[in-house]
This record gives sequence, C-alpha cells and structure tokens, in this order.
Amino acid sequence: MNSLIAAEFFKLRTTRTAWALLGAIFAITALSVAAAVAGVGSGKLDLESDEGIRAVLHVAGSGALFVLMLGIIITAGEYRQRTAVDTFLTTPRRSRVLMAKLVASISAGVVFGSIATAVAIATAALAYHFKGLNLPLGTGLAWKILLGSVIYAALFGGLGASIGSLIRNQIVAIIGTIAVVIIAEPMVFVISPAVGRWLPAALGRALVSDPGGNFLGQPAAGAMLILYVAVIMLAAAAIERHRDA
Amino acid sequence: MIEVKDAVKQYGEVRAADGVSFVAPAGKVTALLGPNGAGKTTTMRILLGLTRPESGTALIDGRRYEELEDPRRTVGAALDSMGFHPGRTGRNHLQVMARAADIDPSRVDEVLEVVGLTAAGGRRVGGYSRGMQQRLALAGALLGDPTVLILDEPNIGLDPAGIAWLRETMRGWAAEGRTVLVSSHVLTEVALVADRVVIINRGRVLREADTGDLGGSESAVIICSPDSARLEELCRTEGWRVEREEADRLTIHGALAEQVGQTAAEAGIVVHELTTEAGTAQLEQMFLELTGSKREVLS
Repeated sequence: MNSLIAAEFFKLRTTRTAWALLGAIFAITALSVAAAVAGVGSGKLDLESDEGIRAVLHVAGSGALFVLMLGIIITAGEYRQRTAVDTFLTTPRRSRVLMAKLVASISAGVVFGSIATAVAIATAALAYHFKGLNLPLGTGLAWKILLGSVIYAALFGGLGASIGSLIRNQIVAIIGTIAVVIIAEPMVFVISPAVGRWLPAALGRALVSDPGGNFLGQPAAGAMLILYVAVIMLAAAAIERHRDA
Repeated sequence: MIEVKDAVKQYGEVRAADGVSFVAPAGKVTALLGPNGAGKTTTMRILLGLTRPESGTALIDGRRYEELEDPRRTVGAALDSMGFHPGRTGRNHLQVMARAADIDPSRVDEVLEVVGLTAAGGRRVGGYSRGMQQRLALAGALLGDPTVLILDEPNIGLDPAGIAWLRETMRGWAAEGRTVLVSSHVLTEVALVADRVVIINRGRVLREADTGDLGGSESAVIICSPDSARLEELCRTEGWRVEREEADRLTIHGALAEQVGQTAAEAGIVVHELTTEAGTAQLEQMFLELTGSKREVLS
C-alpha cells in the first residue's frame, strides 16, 4: 500500500500537471486576497475587525477547485492516458488502487492547501501593510479560517479522487463537476438555502467561514464533506468490481 | 503455465469469447492464432483480470490473476490497450511501475537496455514512434523478470530487425522454462516462433496442437543452379520430392539444406542459391479451412 501511495506521489512530482495546478493556485490565491483587501478596504468594513478578517481570509480557499481537478486527474486521468491497464496489472485488487489514490489526493490537498494558506497570509500581510494596517493574526478567528482552508483543499482533493473514480471519463468528470459546483449549486442555494448549504461547494465555503451565506459550522461541514467522499468512493469501489479496465 | 477453461465473454450482441479453452505449457512459445476480431485480445484480458468473464476460468500457475501474490514478478504483459502518459519519459514510466510493484529501480535501466531504448529512455513518450512504444511496453513486461509472458500482437510497429530480435528473445524465454503466450494474425511469424498453436476464431478454439504435430512445419529447401535439370534428377534418385518453380529454381521437400548442398557438391554442380523455407503452407491451409477467412487477414 505504501509503495502504491509513493508511486502516486512520484507520478505527481514528475509530471507537469500538478506543478501547473500549483502555479494556478498560487496566482488565484494571491489575486483573490489582494482583491478582497482592496474591496473590503474601500467599503464600510473595518479591515482589522473580525468581520474584516473573515471577509479577507476566507478567499484563502479559492484554489480548492484546482485541487478538486487534481483529484479527478489522479484517478480518471489513468483512463485518459490509458495507463489504467498497467496500474491494475501491478495491483489487481482495484480497491487498493482507489485507496492509494484517495490518500495521495488528500495529501496533495494538504500540501497545496498549506501553500495556498501561506500565500494568503503573505499577500494579506503585505496588502494590510500598504494600507498602513497590521494583519491581526493574533485572533483565533484568523487561524480557524486558515486551518479551515487547508482542510477545504484536503477534502476537495478527496472529493475529486472519488468523483474521478466513479466517472472514469476525465473530461466529463471535470466539466460536470465544475458545472455542478459553479452553476447548479449556487442556483440551488438561491432557491433553497436550507438544501443548498448541504451541498459540497457550500460545505467548502463553510470550512473557511465564508460570510456570504447561512452556512454550516466548520466541524459539521468537514464531517459532511468526509461523508460525501466516503459514499462516492464506496460506490466507485463497488462498481469497479464489475467493470472492465 | 496457463490454463483457460470455458471462458465466455459477451459484449452486447457479440460473444468475444465463446467457451475458450486451451493450455499454454511452461517452456514453450504458444501462439494464439486467429483473424482480426477472433477473441485473442479478449482471452488475454480475461487471463490478466482486466475483463471479467461471464463464466469459465483463466488460471496462471493455477491461480487467477487477482490471486497472484506478486503479479509483476509472475506475469509480464504487453497489450495494445496499454498507453503511456505522453509527458513522462520512458525511463520515468518504468520507474513508476517499479515503485508501485516494489521492484529494484536498477531493473529499469536493465530492461531499457534489453529492448534497446537506453538512449531514448530520457525522452518524453509523446515523441516515441509506434515501434518505440511497443519496445517500452515490452520493457514494462520484463521489469519484474516474470516467469509467464503474455504478449498481444507484439510485432505491430516493430521494424524487421525488431521482429527478428523479438522472435529470438521469445525463443530464449521459452528455453529458460518460461511460459510464453503470444497472439498473432501473421501465420509466417507464428510458424517461425511457436512450439504450439491455438487457432481461434469467433471466440472459439478450433484447433490446439504442437506445431510439430500439425505436419505443416516441415521445411523445404530452395536451390538455384544453372544445371538444375541434372540436380533435379539427382535429388529424385535420393528419394526427395522436387518441384520446379522457375527455370533454374527447385523446391525440394524431405531433405535438409546440408544434404542438398552435399549432393550438388559431390556431382560438381554449380549452386547460386541455397536456402531453407519455413513450412507454413500446411498451417496456412489449415488456418484458412478452419477460419474460412480470406487471404488479406494473413498479411
């Protein structure tokens, strides 16, 4: 099992995809935080208040969608590149392959999420500095949000791995997931927030204390996302038993 | 040793495998011979646990592929459905396999050397030719130094030198006691390499036999001489069957090239050409009769 996970990391390190996604996360996090500071700063909110910090730091999770894509690429990408046959010849017990990919995707999420969080802190500190303010990192709230953004990325990595295991067509999986997260979910949320708050993207926003809606609390949101990952992954593993590679 | 028994696989309306049974013993090259779409690939995929059969068993050394303790060290496979990440180098592809299967990374350079990809190992697979990809697939099959080799149409994409190399390599593996199962639709190639032939068509095994028992492997000697009339007579005196193809060209059955050469030399007959032709005629005839297929699939 450890060899399988090590092999997954090795693949990530030695292909350009993961590095490209990391670069994208780097850029989008820095831009989002800078824009948030500018936006909040020009409004009525006090940047140094709890509401101000929340409005700025919650965007540290902006890169989670890229981690979701990475999880899909780690799993469904095997079918796109037609390497699945080789993978299953090495490890004929497919549930082990799926588990290794899940662990690799969540771990990649932790790494990418941590880097994104560091970028968010650095960008925010710099932006506050230019405004003659100090980023109040001493509050528990700031760290709760930043820790939440790492968990957000980790669980979205896992979510991507489970979706990519279930839907083996990488293009369909990525486009379908993005359509759901960016278009369908916000619509549901507008129509019925009571339902919408239980959906994955809303749960991710809950993890970073997004001020934009009546979201779940962080622990409940984390638990709920874990449940999504587990259910989709178990469904994928059950179906994989009967699928041809 | 490979044993397939009553394997059935249905794809929609098509029975890709319709009760396939055969044995591929250790120490021999066994060829799965059949026209395109006969069920060769499906049979191999069932053996490798990639395709789930509706019924029947496919065992490697007495076990299903999924039950093998260390599949990469037991079985090496090269299938057409294998792909490569175009952005990874050939060496990197094998390193990934070695890591996942706990194989010593030093094997990577060894197998690259064996298949002649040492120089190209550092290049991205996206730039490989079809033949180089085939060589890389073979390298992957060899990585775990397996005792059973399953190769699906391995000649595709290889140049003549590569085909000759692969033929010798397969014979070498069998001589070392390994089990070699190779699929092909090219009769002449099968006749040159296989100890055993399993003829398959429309998902059914039509004939399974050692090539020696088929009688089709009897080779013929071709000789060219300006004095072919005298030579023909001498050969007939020796009791060999002679056919005249062209003015100076004879095909002699029932003799070895050495014997024909000796006869010519003793009579002082000038010889311009003396070769042995692998006997595929009978195998080909049987194949055509069994499969009812046209010549073009024989390429």
